[in-house]
Amino acid sequence: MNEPTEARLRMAGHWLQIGHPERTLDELQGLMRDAALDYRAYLFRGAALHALGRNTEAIDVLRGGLAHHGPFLPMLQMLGSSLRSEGRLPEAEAAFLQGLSLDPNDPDLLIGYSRVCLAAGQAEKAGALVERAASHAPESAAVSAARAQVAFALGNDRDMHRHSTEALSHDPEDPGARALHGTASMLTGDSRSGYTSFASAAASQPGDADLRAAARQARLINHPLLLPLRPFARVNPMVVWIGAVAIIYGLRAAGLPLLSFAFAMIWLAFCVYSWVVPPLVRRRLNRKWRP
Amino acid sequence: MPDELLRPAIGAGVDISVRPWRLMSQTYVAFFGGVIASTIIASLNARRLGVDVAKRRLILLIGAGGLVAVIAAFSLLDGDDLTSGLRVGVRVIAILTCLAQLRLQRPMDRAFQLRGTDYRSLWVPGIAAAIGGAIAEALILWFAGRLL
Repeated sequence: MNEPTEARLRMAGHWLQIGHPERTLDELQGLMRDAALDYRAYLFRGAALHALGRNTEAIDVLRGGLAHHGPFLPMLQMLGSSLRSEGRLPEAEAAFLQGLSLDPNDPDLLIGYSRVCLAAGQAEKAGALVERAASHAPESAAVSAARAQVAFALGNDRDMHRHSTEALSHDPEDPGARALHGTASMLTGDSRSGYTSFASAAASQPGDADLRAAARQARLINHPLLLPLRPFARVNPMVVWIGAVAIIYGLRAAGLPLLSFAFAMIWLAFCVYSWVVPPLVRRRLNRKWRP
Repeated sequence: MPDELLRPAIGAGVDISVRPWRLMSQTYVAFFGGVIASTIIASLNARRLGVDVAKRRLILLIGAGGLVAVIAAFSLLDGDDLTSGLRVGVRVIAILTCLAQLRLQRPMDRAFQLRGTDYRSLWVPGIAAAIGGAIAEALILWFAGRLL
């Protein structure tokens, strides 16, 4: 292979690594006919298309690469991830299992397969796969992040917080780990660090509308005017309502009608506050929103 | 030895193109529409999420239990207590029923959230179920009142 082609392929890989998949595609566009069939060209093009959310194209490219070069682990890994993102879970499973039949202990493939299982609602199996990956790559950010996702799927929000904090300690700048940490913080009632994590994740991925919305919501809950509502932020409002009804009727049944009436009035005031104040604060924050 | 963990386990049960409703929104349907409305929405949503058949049956069973509890509350309360007591009691039963039904949907709802797609709006089906469910429940209580 000649020098400029080699340099172009290396450059394409570099752009991908630093998060500029569109430049990877530009770089690969200029490859000559033979060089375009190099396994790296297929892999980088597939990975770039996957990163840009163009998964159908990524799947075609990667399947072409596998047909041309035979089974190759990173290519199967990328194919499985693209199929998962497209929601084609049985096909994604087949891609990961094909890779794992070649190397049953590859941590990336195990974690990739665990994410397919999570998407299919098989959290226990996903957990077992992540632990197998952990036995081969114990100190990796990917393992901590995957453990956090498994904990989320199992509804263990405290474990999710612990694992996402671990993932952040491996790489404090990683937007994926920040988003996980933000979610875990909000679920465990720590809206302050939830906001910090979401805001930094949103700042490093400005195109992600979900992250911006999550950061905005966390900022709203952090506002001092919402302090009285914060203890109830994690609880279903209807459960709070049942609690209030139980207290009102309980006091009345206990022969304390005045106290029951006073509590009912306080409750009414609280309800009105919870309906009126959040929309006003939201409107004010949205007017001067900066992540 | 065959590796259990690396055996295919994903069937075609989860249809990713179908978007479910938010769990939290379902409690409002239960509050305004009652047990029947809550059960209709919960069982439709469980199907959308790909919850397995056994759990979907349990959702219906919990709904039936809730309806029996509503009728029992209706027959126990009489006279002055009836209107205000029944109104609050029926809502409490509906929300408790709904919370149990949500619990069964939660694991698959979390799986859905990990897929990173948006929920579907519950406004139109929720209001329809709430109105239909409330009318059906009122009719059932009216019949129960005539029988008792």
